[in-house]
Amino acid sequence: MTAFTLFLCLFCQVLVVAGNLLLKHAMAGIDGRERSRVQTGLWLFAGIALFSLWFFLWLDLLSKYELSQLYAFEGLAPVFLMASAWLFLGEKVPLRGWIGVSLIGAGLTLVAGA
Amino acid sequence: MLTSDSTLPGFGLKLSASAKAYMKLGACAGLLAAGELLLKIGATAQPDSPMTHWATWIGIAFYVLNFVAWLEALKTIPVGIAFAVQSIVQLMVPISAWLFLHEQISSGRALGILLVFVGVLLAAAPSAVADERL
Repeated sequence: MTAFTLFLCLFCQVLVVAGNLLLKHAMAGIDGRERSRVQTGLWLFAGIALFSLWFFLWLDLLSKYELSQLYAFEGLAPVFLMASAWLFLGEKVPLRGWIGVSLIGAGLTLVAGA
Repeated sequence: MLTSDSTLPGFGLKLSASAKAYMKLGACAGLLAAGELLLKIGATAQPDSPMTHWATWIGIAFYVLNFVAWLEALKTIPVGIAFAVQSIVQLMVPISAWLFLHEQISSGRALGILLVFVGVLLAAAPSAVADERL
């Protein structure tokens, strides 16, 4: 696995995280008064665009590498997503949420690697 | 578009906010798991042309439904928690291989599965799934 492939694997996780942040941002404000339907639609579209990019990149990686190698990075997404939702969207997560997601991240990495 | 009233007109059934949140998360996970299973059935039955098999198309429909349910869930559930709970779907393959195909499961992988389960239980505590908007 080259450095570039490693970068692509990490980029896949970034796309999933960013796509979900955009979807959450779109849906959280859907009943809000201060945002128009067009704005909500644009946020949704941006999220769907990132997921589409992720889909084709992931298909390409799947066709070239072993599943166990690719799945080694799956554990990163839940941890990154919770941290970035806290950072960018101001989501409040209780301590047990952080402990839970750390266990999930470690568990997924173990399942892929062991 | 609905105003942000706490009760929907025509909905006599009163469910607590966290009960609704669990139902939405469960629907997302179930649809995703069923979609993956159907795609696998389609791809196994017709390796050269999975798009000609009915299971592939129902699988795609399940993926679309999963996306709609996911958007619905994100209206109220913090995305960090919702995504963490969805990780349980990724255990479906190793667990079913162990249950139904009687494949040997390594101790490292078993520990990983256990960690994910404990993590989901912790992350999906009622205080966490109920959004502050409810």
